[in-house]
Amino acid sequence: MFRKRGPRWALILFLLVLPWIFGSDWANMEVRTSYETLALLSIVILTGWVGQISLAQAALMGVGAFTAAQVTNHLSIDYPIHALLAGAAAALVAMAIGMFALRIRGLYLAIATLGFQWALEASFLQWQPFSGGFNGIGVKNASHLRLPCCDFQNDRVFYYLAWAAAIVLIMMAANLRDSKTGRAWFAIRSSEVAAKTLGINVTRYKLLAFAVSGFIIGVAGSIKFNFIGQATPLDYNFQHSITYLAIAVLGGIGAIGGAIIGAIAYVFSDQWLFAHHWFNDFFQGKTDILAAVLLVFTIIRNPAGIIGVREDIRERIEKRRTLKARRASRQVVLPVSGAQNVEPPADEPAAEPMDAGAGAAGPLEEPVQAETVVDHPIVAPELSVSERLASYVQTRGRRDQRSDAAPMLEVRDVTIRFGGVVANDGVSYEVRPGEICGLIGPNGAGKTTNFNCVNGLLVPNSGAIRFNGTDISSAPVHERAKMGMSRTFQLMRLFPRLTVFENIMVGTHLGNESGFTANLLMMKRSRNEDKRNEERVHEIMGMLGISQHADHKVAGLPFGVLRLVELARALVTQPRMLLLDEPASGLDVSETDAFAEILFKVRDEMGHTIFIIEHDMRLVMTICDYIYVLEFGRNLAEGFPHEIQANPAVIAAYLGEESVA
Amino acid sequence: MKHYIELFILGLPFAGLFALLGTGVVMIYRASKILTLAQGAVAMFTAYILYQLNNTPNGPGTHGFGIPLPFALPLAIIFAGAMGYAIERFLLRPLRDRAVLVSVIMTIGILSGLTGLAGIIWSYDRQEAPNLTPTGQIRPFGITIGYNHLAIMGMSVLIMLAVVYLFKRTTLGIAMRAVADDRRAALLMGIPADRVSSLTWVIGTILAGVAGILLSPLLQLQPLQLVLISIPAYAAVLFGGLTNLARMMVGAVLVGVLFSEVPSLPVIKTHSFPGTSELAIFLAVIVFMFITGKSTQLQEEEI
Amino acid sequence: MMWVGAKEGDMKFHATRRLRSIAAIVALGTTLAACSIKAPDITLTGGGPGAGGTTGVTTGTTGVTTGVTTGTTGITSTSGTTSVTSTTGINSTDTSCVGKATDTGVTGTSIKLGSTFAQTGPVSSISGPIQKGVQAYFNKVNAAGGVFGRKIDFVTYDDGWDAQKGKAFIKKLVEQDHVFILSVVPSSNGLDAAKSYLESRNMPVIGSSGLIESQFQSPMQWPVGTSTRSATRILLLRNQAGGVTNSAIIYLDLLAGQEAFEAFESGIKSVLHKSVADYETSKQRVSISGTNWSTVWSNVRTDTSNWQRSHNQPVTGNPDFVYLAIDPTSAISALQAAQQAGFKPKVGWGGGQPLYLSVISQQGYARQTHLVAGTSYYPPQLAASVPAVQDYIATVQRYYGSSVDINNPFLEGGYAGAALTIEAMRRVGSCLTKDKVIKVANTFSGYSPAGLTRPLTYKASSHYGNYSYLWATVGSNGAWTVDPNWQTDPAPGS
Repeated sequence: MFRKRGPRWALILFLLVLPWIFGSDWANMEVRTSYETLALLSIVILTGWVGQISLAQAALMGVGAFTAAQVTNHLSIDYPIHALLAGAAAALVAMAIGMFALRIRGLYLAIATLGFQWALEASFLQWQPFSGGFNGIGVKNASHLRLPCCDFQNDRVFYYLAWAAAIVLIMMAANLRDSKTGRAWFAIRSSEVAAKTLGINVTRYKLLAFAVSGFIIGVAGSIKFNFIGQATPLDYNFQHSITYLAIAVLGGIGAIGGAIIGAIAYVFSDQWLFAHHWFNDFFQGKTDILAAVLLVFTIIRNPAGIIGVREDIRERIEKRRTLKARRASRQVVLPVSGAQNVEPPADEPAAEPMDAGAGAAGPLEEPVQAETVVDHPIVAPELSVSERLASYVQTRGRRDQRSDAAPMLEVRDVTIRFGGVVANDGVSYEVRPGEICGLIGPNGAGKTTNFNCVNGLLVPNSGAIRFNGTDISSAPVHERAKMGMSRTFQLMRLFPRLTVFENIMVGTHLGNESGFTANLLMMKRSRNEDKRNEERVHEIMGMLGISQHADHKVAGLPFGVLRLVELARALVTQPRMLLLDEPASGLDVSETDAFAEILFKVRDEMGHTIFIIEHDMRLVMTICDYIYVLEFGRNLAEGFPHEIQANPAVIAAYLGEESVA
Repeated sequence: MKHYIELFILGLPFAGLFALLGTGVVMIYRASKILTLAQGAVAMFTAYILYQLNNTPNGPGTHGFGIPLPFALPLAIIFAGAMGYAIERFLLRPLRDRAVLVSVIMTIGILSGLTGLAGIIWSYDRQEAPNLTPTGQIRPFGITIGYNHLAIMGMSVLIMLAVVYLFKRTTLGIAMRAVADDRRAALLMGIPADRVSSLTWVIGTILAGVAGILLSPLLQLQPLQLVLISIPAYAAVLFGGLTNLARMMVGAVLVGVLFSEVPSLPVIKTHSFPGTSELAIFLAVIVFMFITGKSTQLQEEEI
Repeated sequence: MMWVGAKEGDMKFHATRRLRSIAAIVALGTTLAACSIKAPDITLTGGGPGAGGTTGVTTGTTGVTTGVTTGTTGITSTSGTTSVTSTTGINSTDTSCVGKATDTGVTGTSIKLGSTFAQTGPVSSISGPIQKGVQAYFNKVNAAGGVFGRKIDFVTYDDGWDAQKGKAFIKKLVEQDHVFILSVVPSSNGLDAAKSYLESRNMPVIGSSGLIESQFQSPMQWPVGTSTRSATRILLLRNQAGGVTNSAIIYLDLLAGQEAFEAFESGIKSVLHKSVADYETSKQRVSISGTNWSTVWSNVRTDTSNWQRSHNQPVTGNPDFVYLAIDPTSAISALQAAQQAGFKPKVGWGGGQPLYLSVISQQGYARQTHLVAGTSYYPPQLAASVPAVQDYIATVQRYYGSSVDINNPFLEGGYAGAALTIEAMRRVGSCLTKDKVIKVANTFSGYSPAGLTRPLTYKASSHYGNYSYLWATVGSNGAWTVDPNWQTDPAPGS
């Protein structure tokens, strides 16, 4: 709703004339819609965008309302200045809640926020000096309900004041959504692990989300206070928290438009419908159950809410258009496993903005044998991939030397225990700059666990890890990413509801210098950074040959493409070293060869060092300059590929009888 | 000093009831990975069902069929179980493939719906709760303990023991734990996972129902109140990390005691600050979580 | 959640971002500019445009009000420019305007009155039935031909005790439904929120419940019930006469519980001339959202024991009296728990109007322990000696049968409030206008609406019309005994 220019200005124009279009009895509802929208917006941001469930929103709104009341009555600071104070107070309290969110996630957080609402509502919101006790606080002096220009008691007049504030906040929210901050938030929601690995300081962004959300709903509370002239604790109780959450879901918890629509629906039904006796007599006292039924229905049938209906329609139109375009154009098809021009599956899964999504391959569809268009600007296109690869390998010659440079990554004596199980026992190795180094071993050898350690996701029981000479054993994940360590995962952790382009854009986080304020106000700096990064992303997509998938949603793309997307995302962080965890698993022979080619390009042209865990021996032997072997969590052997191939212990443990070409 | 002991003892029945509520939550969580926020609502609704069955109307605004207790009580319990079955079968099963978050929000919807329904049927005014325990008190060492409290404590302990026995010793209990650990493997072993899930919910809601029935005479039979009072039970559940029954019970005792003791502490009384027991419980949980740190973190993602 | 990728429209996209931020800044700027000029302090004059002279009632700013001070005193002469022609138009025998429309909401054949009620919400058991009481009285008046041939058209909304909706509906009544005046409006939350609005519009509310003190302090509200503070002081005096030397208090965090508590402590000083420490043995604040009554009684017992010890009295743990400033169903739970705990005050316990007896009297323990409750109106138990009560019962039952509890003092209050409204209008005469009604309402002297209260007097300087109470006790058979002597607050409004 706020992306295209036309509708946006139409909306603002509409809002300007709205009070005069309808009669004055609508003005009251129109004002109320403004602060209810803000309340819902706070939920959209916190729960919809960042995935943090909060059942404490009503209490925060109360904090805002009572702060405004106190400030008005005692310090004579009136609207709209006190709205800022109210927002700030609520933001602070929200950050306190946010502190829990750092330690606890998902379900725990839901309970913790519920407990927070419960405790706050029983204590501070009942405390006489702050909230006036049960009866609440009213405005002491009616002059506080007017400004030189306007009398707040006049609905039509207050309407503009209220909506001015709302529009400002909504626009800022939209700005954030389209910026680096928004992308970081979406990433955190889908997969905190992946976010961290891309250099996003999850702690900071979570707290930020709470603060922003708290501020918005605090301002909403202050507007409400000014409008009613009174604030009572009952208005900010546990039930309101639930109601707001339910309406946010109904409207569409992922979209700003959802907040607006939800607010309109809520106010309309609560005030207009109930003013009519025929409706009132039947439904009075039944709003709770009505809301509950609607919520249940929405979740089961259309979890994206009302706004999702629009998205669904749009998607269907898109799909039809894409299908038509595909049928019309001609595709270059490589003879990959006998694949034909197959249409993508007709039923894409509906948008599900509420799925937390572990990022595992599960929700993503099974790879369908679709066209594979490979884009190689450098090498002669007449040769097949394997031929090109073979020629490259030949030119490279035999590998029997390691670079003399100081190791980029040094792992010394790392031991990791899970309860009684020893996953890594004194593992040590080095990765030299400019190499493609391999880590192999039978299943259960502890390779991924070791990676997790290097990456920072796990803390070893003992041992040291040095990166470029610095001891990083205690550095958090995002710090290591900042230092130049990038990683892909064995179970892919793409962000399922984003497109390919958006997924890779998240990777530009580290390369984006704009700060929160720049994002908030969409200042020039923020826009320039975004533009610059967009160009980089396109470059990398071109290099990896996935440009044509830029706007496709990640779910529904073939496996091979997804691997490349994850690689692209890791590359875009401009790492010094890439940690690849079984990147070729699930790829067939020619896809693997293509992948190998890409890895060479990455190393040769972009200068990255690569450290790779793999099972595909052909790939390992083809690309690795040096190999380490683990078995049962211990170093088994190390050496150049031809040495490893000939090592009897390795063969016995792992390679088996087969000799590899 | 005596006063504090008395308050401690007064807190125990609540502890028992929180433990009952909490057990249901933990059971359901372990069997389905869903955190049901509707436990309090189920408790409340069952208490109302018993009221509806057992009460004899005695004025405008009261309800009841006047069925004697020995019949009304089992009927109410059965109803509670039926509610659990219905919830699992019709509202939660369709969401099984989706993220757990969705199911949690669904339970919020159930919470809201049951509260609203109770309000419509029986109004939001408080009704008279059927009293199941004898009146009177004993006075050991000058401390007063009502028979009703003793009865509740006793019943809670018995039921908890039964549940623990169920989990550890019976085949059903093992099957429940198997389904919780790895549904697919359990299915492959021939365990009817769907039926086990249903059964878990049925037991879970029955526990909630019993708690509700015992709670309502202690407080009031009122839709919102009974739901609100179940929130401390969730605090107890958090103590147990959502999975550990023993720790949850300890948490329940802590919460129950805090609930009684805190408002009577002299420092609190002089300042007449409201809601101190809620704050105290909440802070206790938070502190606990911070101290235990990682062990209470819910890892959504396997690394 | 798609966002614009690098497609055509990229340039436009960035441009719109800029426009968006400009709009944001402009909006922010205008709002801030509008507010940079500080509004001068406007003292409440209570007058709207064209309303002529008005009376001023300034409100106290602290919890304990010291009564009503006047702004401009008395009834000032009209210099208004409205349809009011002269002050001397008030004459209850004046029929010159019969059949004509004389003000907003008044036609030749009808008078539109408005109110909000809370059919749902935390106190719906108290507030919900009030509507029937009010409507019953209006029905009666209409059946008798109305007021000067104009029948009452009563417009109501259910606001669920919600301040937001309450105020919105009140505004709607005034601005869209064009009611003449408001009657009763028991929904205190909404009424309170709308107070300054009503004052700025010169819109009177006649016959409100009086439960919350702020109703007595508005120039636009005339409560018909006795204030909680008066009730508390009356109780203290009554107890003193009954031999009570100490008392505990339990008050709800709802409605007038806080006011009862404050009045209790200040009343100990002002009417009993004692110090709080020498009278109050225990104070317990209980919550509407869940109270463990066993703990409460345990606390009361311990506190009282300590008090008795420090006052060299036999330590029994039982105070003479317990003031229950709570609602009836909480009281039932409280009594049940007290019975379980074996707690029993020495002389008795009870409270004011919210604690209405018909609910509690069914509770066994109440019958055994001398429970009292007060009311601002003659209760049905006095029907035999008070014909007005018989009339009330008959009227309400004629229209609503057994669906209402005639013992609900708030229902009765609604009836009385409606009566006050009608009388105020009747005394104006047929040339009915709002301003005249306001003036008449400020001249009531010794009038008992529907005969259900003591004679009430309202003045422009004080709207504390009703400050008397009757007390009823529950007997062991569940029947009430009502003491027919009105007890009066010596210092209403303090």
